[in-house]
Amino acid sequence: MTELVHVDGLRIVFDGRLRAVDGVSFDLTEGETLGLVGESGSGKTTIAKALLGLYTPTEGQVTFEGRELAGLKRRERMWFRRQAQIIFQDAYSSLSPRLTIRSLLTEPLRIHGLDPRAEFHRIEALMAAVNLSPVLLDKYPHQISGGQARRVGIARALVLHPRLVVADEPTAGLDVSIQGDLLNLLAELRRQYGLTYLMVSHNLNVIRKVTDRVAVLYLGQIMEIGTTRQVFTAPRHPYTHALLAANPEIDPALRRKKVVLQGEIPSPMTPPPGCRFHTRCPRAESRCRVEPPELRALGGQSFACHFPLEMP
Amino acid sequence: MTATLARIWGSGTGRLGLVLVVLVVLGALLAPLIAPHDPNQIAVMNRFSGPTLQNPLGTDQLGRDIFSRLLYGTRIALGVSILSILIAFVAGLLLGIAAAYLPPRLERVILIIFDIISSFPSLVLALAVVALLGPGLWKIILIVSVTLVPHFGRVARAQTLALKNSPFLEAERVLGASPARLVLVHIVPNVSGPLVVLASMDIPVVIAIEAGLSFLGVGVPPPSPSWGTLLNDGYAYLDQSIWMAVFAGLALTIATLGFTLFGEALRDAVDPKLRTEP
Repeated sequence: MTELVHVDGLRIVFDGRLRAVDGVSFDLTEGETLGLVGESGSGKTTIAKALLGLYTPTEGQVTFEGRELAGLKRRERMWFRRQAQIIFQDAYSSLSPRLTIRSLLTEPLRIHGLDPRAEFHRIEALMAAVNLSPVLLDKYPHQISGGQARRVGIARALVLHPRLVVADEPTAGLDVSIQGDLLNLLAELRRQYGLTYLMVSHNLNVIRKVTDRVAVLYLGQIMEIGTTRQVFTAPRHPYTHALLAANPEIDPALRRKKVVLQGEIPSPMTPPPGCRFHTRCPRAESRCRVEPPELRALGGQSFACHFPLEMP
Repeated sequence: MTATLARIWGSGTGRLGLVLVVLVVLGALLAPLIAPHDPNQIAVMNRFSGPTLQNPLGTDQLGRDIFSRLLYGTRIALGVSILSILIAFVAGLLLGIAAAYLPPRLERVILIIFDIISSFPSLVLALAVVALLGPGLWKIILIVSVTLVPHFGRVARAQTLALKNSPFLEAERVLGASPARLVLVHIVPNVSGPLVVLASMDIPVVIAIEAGLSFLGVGVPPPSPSWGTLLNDGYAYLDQSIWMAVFAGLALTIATLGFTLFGEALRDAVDPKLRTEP
């Protein structure tokens, strides 16, 4: 397996003071699905969009197949656009309202100078793959249902046959039954098109079901990263533990003791010194207030904590 | 398009507006076919005639047929308003989108220009320009369009700002769309909708401005039968014949009322919040 994306010391600061992402490093291997979890404001969407080159890093870099995104020339940038695509959280508002579904789906071809007629088989194949009827081709976005809009968004993202797909909250706002269908669809497309996913979600059940590895974010930093199984069964970071404990669990045998976090997530304008999480951490000691913990690897997973939980 | 027209037809005042607008537009288009006389044909023996079979709305101080003059006047009223609004629409659209995308300093410059233009009353500006350059049809069109640019520009800027960070533009950027493509294919069509409504509501305003300027003698120069000129003649000869003033005023009223009602109905018809069907 080859490394597709490499994120190194990524820092993104908005307006000179809002530290949305504050020193994040991770890799994405071709063919895997990496999940980003965290509360609102933890920086997960910002990281996802930085991977697509939508934000320029304040510090650090994002490389795709060894090429740094910030330094791409025009021709390379168009190449990269064919490699990486996004599925948006809000399907409706990601579709240009005055274009028909047909125009929306042929738009990527036209942008890249491909003949929409000659390449229409791609769209037909994708419509079939995401289970959309050709009848919808001449409708406008406001005339189709939410689930259909989402599948149009997915089909459009795949028209250029990308290798990396960022899915931003792919199940947000869907019924549980449709959520399942959608996740199965994403898994099927991954197999069929050999995709690599970066999946952003705050829904832990979704992340557990579909990802191979997961990174837990808090205030723009990675608290813990490892294989999904390890992180979910044996979290080492107190924040991961609290997050998992807050997740509703149907099976009483699997229920964890509730850990109630005090207070709100602090403002990313004025992040706390030392460990970002110490203001709400049940295990925090004086050292945590001063010394920011490094991300350290131990037994396959990495975590940033001075006083990690024991291995079970 | 047809759905919008159907919605306009469905509202009572909209229907009246649509009928009046169609009448006015037909009058302008078919003036040479309908008019019983040459609008500038003088018949001094027949001056100040009341409505007769030969002159349906009477004649003026030179014996010219008022009905024919009013019909040709429709062409001036519509021509001036459509042309000047078209120019202001395009200029305002481009400047507004540019303002939304340019760095704050240049945006400020555009907004200050808008403020300066709108701080001049258009009538005073027109009087100044005519005093300097003399009267003329194109000068009127130019002045009116300049004074309307901020009107369209401000709305275009606000609409663009609202769209600028919308996910669908982000999606297009991820697909690799160039800035030119973003503006032409995605922003212009979405910004134009509200501007079209604005334009339709501006038509009666421009008709009134043009008539006002001609009434004051600084508009379209005689013998062109502008409604304002006709109104002025009617006013000057009010003690000889009231028909000129009455019918010129009536024409002006029908046109402005029609376009106002039509504009309001159009605004309601394209407002998705007022729409009942999906």
